[in-house]
Amino acid sequence: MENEKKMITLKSSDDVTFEVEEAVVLESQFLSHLVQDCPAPEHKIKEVTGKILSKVVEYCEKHVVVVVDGGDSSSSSGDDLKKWDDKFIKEMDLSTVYDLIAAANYLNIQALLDLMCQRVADVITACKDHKEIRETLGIVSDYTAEEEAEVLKENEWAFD
Amino acid sequence: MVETRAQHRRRTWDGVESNQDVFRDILSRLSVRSICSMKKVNKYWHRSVSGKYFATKQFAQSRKKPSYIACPSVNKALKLYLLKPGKFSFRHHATVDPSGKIADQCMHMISSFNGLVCCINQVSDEDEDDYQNHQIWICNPSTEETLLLPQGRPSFLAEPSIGVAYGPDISEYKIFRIFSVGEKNDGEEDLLLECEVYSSSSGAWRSIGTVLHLPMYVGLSPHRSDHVFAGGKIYWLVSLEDPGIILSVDMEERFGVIELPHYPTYLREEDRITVATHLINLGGSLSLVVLHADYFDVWVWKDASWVLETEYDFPFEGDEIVLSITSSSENEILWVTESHLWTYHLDTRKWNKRGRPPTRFKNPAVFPFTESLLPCTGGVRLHGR
Repeated sequence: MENEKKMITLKSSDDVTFEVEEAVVLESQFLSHLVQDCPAPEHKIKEVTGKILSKVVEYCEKHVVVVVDGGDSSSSSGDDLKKWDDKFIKEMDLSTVYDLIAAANYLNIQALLDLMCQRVADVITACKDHKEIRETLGIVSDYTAEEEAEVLKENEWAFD
Repeated sequence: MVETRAQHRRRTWDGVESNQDVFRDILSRLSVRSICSMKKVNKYWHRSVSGKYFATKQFAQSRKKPSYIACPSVNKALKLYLLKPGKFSFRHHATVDPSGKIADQCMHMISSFNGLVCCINQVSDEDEDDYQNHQIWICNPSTEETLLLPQGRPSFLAEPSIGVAYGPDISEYKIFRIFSVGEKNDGEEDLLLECEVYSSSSGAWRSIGTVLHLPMYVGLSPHRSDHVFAGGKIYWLVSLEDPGIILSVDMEERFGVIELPHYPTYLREEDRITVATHLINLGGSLSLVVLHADYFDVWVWKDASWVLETEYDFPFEGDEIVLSITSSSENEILWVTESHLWTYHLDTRKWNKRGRPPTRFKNPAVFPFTESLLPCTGGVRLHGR
């Protein structure tokens, strides 16, 4: 049948496979090119683990533009999608967010990257000061006591 | 050895942090206040949020979240509030009271651009009442930086008028100052007008010769500096007398004059151009809002002629005087009346009553605003970063 959807298999670095529709793969710029250039039925993605790839696939499946019979083109309505995104991200720990940032960046999925970057931005915004940012993200300061005192009173915004 | 959760998190964060593009993308989403405190995290974070590249990126993010900046009540210190679309509730943003300001004078916000605001305060000279001047300030209310511009040439017999032009580069702006050098010699009452320009790239005033028109006092505004910047040009109202004119100037310092839209003379006076006529920037186009007794007209300047966009009734009583009008999009106009904020949506023709100000409105100023890290000098001529 002509209308039959083309399926593509993605294989993670740890050999977990995902069978997805071609439309889902097209959400990723990187995979679009890969599928076009190399018509193999299975594609190995060495940079992404099965755990993270399953999240990527889940996201792309939700966000793919659905072509309904009769040529009507529609995707889930904007509000629903936003609610889904909020839930998707809420259930995620920070490590997964970081891994997804790396995966979305590598696979070139801008909307997913935006969503994850905003999540980290929200985490940083929720910190009351620079000390809490360090604690939350596990960052070590490399300022000496004098340098830190200097930076604390700094209010110079000229582009030097 | 099995990695602990904390170690894994730390390692994956390192991956995010070391990708400069992604890391800066994250940081650019934060408010300017947060970015200031991020400089204190460590040296790498400090470097990442410094420089023109990051400021440009932050500005691009900030543009996706447009807001308004409001000074509800004119005072000696400039008390500024942010208004976010949606609720339009007044949130205190900054109080600007630079130490070099003349103590007794009020600060008037006359323009907002690229996250900076331009303010003026009158310099009075008691001994010589025909001599007038302003202090002109550029402030970034988000970083609390202020810059006092060098004093312009004195203006005789008339208060000078100021307008701000900017772009296309975010670090470029020009302040146009039209002032009077005295009466013309031909015995008429007319003033001899000149213009000087301050540009962010030179940091100094430069005279550009004579001008034919001095902008007028608009509505109840206490200064001559009411103007809009739209489509690359500054526009000032000069006169409302039939036909009435607007003066314009662009970044290349070319002046122009536009006549106001024509109303037939058989109409009643209140149905023609009234004293309550304002200029706004409607989605990038010059627009003229003419208030009549119980309705208003919106004219848009398109392809060198005036097009009547809409004509609509006011939702408020006739005694609720409109003090100021502005817009940050092509389909919404924000109105400041004596007691309230109102929004009018041009497509749906719906009025919405918005929040009350924290203090009573007194010469209120409200402009579209985009938070930025831009230094008051514009931060010019920088390469590499």
